[in-house]
Amino acid sequence: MNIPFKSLINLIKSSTVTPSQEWQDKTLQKIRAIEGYQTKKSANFNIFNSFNPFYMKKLLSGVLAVMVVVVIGGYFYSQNTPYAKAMQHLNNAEAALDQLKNPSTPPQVGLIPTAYAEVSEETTIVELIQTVESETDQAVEESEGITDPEDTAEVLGEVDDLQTETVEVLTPLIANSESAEVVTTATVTVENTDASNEVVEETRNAAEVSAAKREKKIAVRMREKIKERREIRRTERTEKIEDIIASLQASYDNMDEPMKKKYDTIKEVLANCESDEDESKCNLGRAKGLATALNAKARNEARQEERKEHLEELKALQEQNKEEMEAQREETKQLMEENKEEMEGEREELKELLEDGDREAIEDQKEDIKQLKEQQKEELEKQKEETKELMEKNKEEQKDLLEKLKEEKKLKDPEDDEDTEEDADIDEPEDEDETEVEVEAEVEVEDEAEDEDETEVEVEAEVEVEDEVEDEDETEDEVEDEQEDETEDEDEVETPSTES
Amino acid sequence: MGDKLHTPQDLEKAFLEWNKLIYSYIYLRVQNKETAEDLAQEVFMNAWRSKETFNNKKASLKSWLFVIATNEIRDYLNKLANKKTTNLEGIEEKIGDSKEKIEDKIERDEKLEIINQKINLLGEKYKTIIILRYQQDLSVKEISEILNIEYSATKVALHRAIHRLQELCEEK
Repeated sequence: MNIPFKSLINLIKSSTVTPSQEWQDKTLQKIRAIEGYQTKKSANFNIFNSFNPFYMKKLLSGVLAVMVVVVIGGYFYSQNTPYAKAMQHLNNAEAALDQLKNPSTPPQVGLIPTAYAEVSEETTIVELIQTVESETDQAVEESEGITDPEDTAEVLGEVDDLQTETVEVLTPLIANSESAEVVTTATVTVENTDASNEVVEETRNAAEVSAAKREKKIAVRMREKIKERREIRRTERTEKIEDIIASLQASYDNMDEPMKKKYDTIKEVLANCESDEDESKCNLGRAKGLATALNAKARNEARQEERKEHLEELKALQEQNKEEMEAQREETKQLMEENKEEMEGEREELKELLEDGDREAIEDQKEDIKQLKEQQKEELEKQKEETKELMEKNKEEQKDLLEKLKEEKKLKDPEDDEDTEEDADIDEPEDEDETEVEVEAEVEVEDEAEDEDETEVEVEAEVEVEDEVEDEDETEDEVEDEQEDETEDEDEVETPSTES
Repeated sequence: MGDKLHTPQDLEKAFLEWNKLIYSYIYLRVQNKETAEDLAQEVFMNAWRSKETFNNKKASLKSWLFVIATNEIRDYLNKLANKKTTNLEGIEEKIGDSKEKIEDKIERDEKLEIINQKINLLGEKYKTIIILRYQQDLSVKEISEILNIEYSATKVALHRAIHRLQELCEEK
């Protein structure tokens, strides 16, 4: 069987075997049975590091539970706010009042337990009247906890309406009911409602004003005032009926027809009581109640008129606020525009200043540059002069040297025939060539220095000249060495040439 | 190398990751399912018992597990040799048995079976190297760590093992 390498490798790779799931589970169980597995597992647990559906389920259910708690809590909170509680009490009072207004209508389930009773019965009417009063009082109490002026005004508005309606509903009840208990209860309720309504009205007006002024909080304290007013009403009731009638007499002309009729009824009752002929017709309680109710109604009407005036005042206040706001807006606009203009002016000034500053700076720079250029020119001229001087010096030195060399040669010429080896070492013709080249180079350098102003070339020329000078030095050294050698040789040979 | 073996969870993770490789490696060496399962399980238990000796700076956890597996296989084969159950005749018998199996199980890949037979005919070292390199897909460096031999020596051994296997395949 001949198998190529690649297919052989592939075959080997494909021959892997997998363990059974049973074995894997068994071994995993064994690993999980190792001491410390469970505790470590819980210690290492991090919901954000491991995505485990079980834990996700837990997390989700946890989140859901929190959400439910929040919703329920929110619901209970919203139900337990002073506003909500006041509204709830008002609803209850209204329901009871509806029962009093329409005795035939079936009771509303769940609102007032007493509504299940027969409304025709005296006790039920009394209870309903008491419910209206107590629920209204509770609504007033709850409204004290409201801090928002708008909410306070809203709740007190509802209370005011309810109290007005209560007086309206109870007045005919006092006039028509045969039950002394109903009449008395209704009279007391009307009296209390009337006293409370005064305070509520005042507070409502104050709340509306503070709302119009955009105040954020309002502190309302009505209970004490209501108590005081109720005390006043009670003392009024205990006064003689004549005094009550007398108090009503003032507003008799302004009364509408039904009220005038009721007033007449009160008068009749009183007349019966005074005559003592028909005692059954003398119902002092009813007369008192009616008087109270009529008084309350008259006050209601007066308050309604006051309310109209107050609303007009409020409107005026709101308009005033609007005007003030608009005036403020205009002022701010004007201020903004003024600021803008000022800013623009400042910007322009700054620009001008900057431009002036720049110009001056540029001019200064230009002057500096000019000065620098002049300085550079002067330096260049100086350098030129120095190089020229150096060149002249070099020339003179070279000339001197050449003359010296020539003299020396002349002196040496007679000895040449005797010592040929020394001639070969000196290489006179080469030295001459070199000097010629050097002179040529010098001439070139001079020409260049004259023609061109560039310092680089001049520096090169200097370098060349220096090199040449060095060469000359070398030649001098060589010559000196050679001379020394010669002297040594001559010493060895003992020739007199060195002495000369 | 960020491998660690401090907690049972680390061992669990290592098992889930490499149990198939270790099992396959052992099975191809011992050619017995039950033995391979026992030995593979023992590899992980031994690893846990001797976790203090594991140094992740020297070798990876995977390589270390293969070292343990190699030792387990060696011990097992030595025990077999002592019992004289694994001699040349035994191997021949095995080959004979597997030949019968080939005839019986037509569906099985003939070539694959033959290759496995031929691998088993190789020496222990070559066999191990071939299995680790081509069946377990380990790098030459990892193999050298597992077998505790030089990298170059591992490469040479691998080359020779392949050459020897090719020769064996060509024989019949």
